[in-house]
Amino acid sequence: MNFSDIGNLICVPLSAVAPSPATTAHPYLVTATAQVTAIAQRNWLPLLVIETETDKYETIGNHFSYAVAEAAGLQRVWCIVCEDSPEMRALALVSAQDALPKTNLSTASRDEIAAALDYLLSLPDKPLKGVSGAIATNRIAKAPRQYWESFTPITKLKCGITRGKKLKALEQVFCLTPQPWPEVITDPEVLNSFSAAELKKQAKKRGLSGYSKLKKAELVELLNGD
Amino acid sequence: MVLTDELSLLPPDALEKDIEAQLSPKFLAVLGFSRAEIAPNFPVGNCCVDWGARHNATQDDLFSQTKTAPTLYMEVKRHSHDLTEGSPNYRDTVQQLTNYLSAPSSKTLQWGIIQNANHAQLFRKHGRVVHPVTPCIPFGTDGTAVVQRFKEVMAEPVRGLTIALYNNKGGVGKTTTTINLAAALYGLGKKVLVVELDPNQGDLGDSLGIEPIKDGMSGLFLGNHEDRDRIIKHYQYTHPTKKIQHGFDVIPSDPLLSEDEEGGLFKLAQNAAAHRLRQILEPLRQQYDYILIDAPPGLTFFPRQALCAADVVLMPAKHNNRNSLKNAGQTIAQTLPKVRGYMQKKLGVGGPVPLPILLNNAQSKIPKAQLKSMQDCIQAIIDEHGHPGMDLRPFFYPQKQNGKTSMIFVPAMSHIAQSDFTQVPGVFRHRAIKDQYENLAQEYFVA
Repeated sequence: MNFSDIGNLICVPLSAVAPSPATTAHPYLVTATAQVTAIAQRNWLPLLVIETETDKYETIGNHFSYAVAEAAGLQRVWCIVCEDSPEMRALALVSAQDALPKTNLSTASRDEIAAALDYLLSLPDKPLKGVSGAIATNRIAKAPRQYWESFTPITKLKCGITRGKKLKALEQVFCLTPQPWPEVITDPEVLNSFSAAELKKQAKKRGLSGYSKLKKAELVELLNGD
Repeated sequence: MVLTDELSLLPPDALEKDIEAQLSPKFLAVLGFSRAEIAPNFPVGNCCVDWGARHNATQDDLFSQTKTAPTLYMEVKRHSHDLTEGSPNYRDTVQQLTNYLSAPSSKTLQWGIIQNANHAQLFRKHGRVVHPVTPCIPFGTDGTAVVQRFKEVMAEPVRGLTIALYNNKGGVGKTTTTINLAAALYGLGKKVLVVELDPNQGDLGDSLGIEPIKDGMSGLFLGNHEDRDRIIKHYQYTHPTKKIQHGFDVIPSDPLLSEDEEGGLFKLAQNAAAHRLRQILEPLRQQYDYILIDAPPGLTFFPRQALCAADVVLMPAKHNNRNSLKNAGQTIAQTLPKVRGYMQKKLGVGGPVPLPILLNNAQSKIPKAQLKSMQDCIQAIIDEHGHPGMDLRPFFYPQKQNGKTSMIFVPAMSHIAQSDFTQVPGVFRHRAIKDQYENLAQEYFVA
């Protein structure tokens, strides 16, 4: 016998559900939907909740429906009971479109990067105004992003994504799980992303000599050589 | 002979499970995969393909146990599931196999088979492209024809993919696309050969500064010589500041093949069979990763040669040119099935399949009214040629997401056209163009 409530559709008093954080939806959508809901006297789209203690619930997804139920003055709300874990909370937020799903830029495929950038480009407030999706995709996909600890290196790729609003916009859809830099870097693509001074430091660390007068391209060749 | 017992034991209305139990393991066995080299219901993403297979290199890495790095998938259908080309079932099954082969976990795949104990067809995976390499061969009573042809093809994997750039309508940017795509593929580390097949224009060689070779291609067409090295020129570009050399090989046009040329060989060469170019390129397919054929518009001698020689056909079109879209649709629906039929009968190969249409030279923002008329026009083309076995929609709108209508495109950039004057592919000179075409190359070809 299974006594677990997880996955069940339940109808509970609204007072048993802890107030949920503010929805991102525009207030007009909340009040206008509340008017229709008040006539129907029920919410068809259930809240995603977890049981915090006996008969007490917390909304973890579909904050919009909570706001509507509150505004419509519903006595009882329909909820689906979810499993309580960090992954499930994240899933609830994303599937109810309360939060944007994130793409891991450290490991993402080229197509995934293209799709995420395309989403940002299609937003009405145009956070990436003037950026070409194709160019940005190609340069970001080819960059040594598995080592990036922040998005700042993107500003050096000359793909139109600059510090400030544009870089901030990327944080909406991308996250990073960087791997540590290898001891000895020989990949020319990676070496090219460093400045000449940083390359000289690496040459020193490796115990090379005669590097101090070299230009950047020559430094890359030197470090790439062994 | 080979599969006589298994085939004769199958009931006439054999279901998938009958074929699986009685025919499939034996079929894979005669193709050279032993018991330890095959695995049924092989997981691909969230689904399962009916069989995965791979030859075992060492004794301690048996595929039937480790189930890693398969090189072949086989999808089995029941007897009544019609697998002749042009049937709706055939289209769906090919799509299913293509999806399996294109899944992120299928990096090591080389081959795909569809079969229903009546027919079988072999497909090859080259980078991102999946295309047929044999006709849909009937099993007959003993399956000899299928087994023999499959073994022949799989014994000698071909290195290169031959791409014809073609549109029945002229002026849609075939030559520009060819040059820049070749340069982008080179930039991605591939060995590339460009074949110019337009002796009347000779534009491609001209925009790279390569002289036409008199008595080059024509000699091969007439069978006067078999010296392919003589007609291949190397195009090289050295970047002015970075001192990096770029390059690819080119077969320039032959003025003797031009219709205009006095004492030309056009009339004579025209007697060559439609698949002559394919035979000419056959040995070169092992030397290059990609062979791009710049075909002239129309359906005359040279375009036909290009289509017959190709594994896949890439058709550029323009958003504001109705005929270029219409002709591309017609090529997919009418011309290419005929060419495939000819090539399958003549040489026992799969014949050319279309790639999604490339919207060339698109304005970065097509005005709404123009976009609407283009989409209406495309819908009319899809409706006109659509029947249960033919759906043009995925060739115009390859995006798999529902309701999304976006095409693969290259934006109009002033540097792209400009590069004809400098006789250097735009990709080598301008980073922005390089990004555009590398994107394109990876969207279509390079995994």
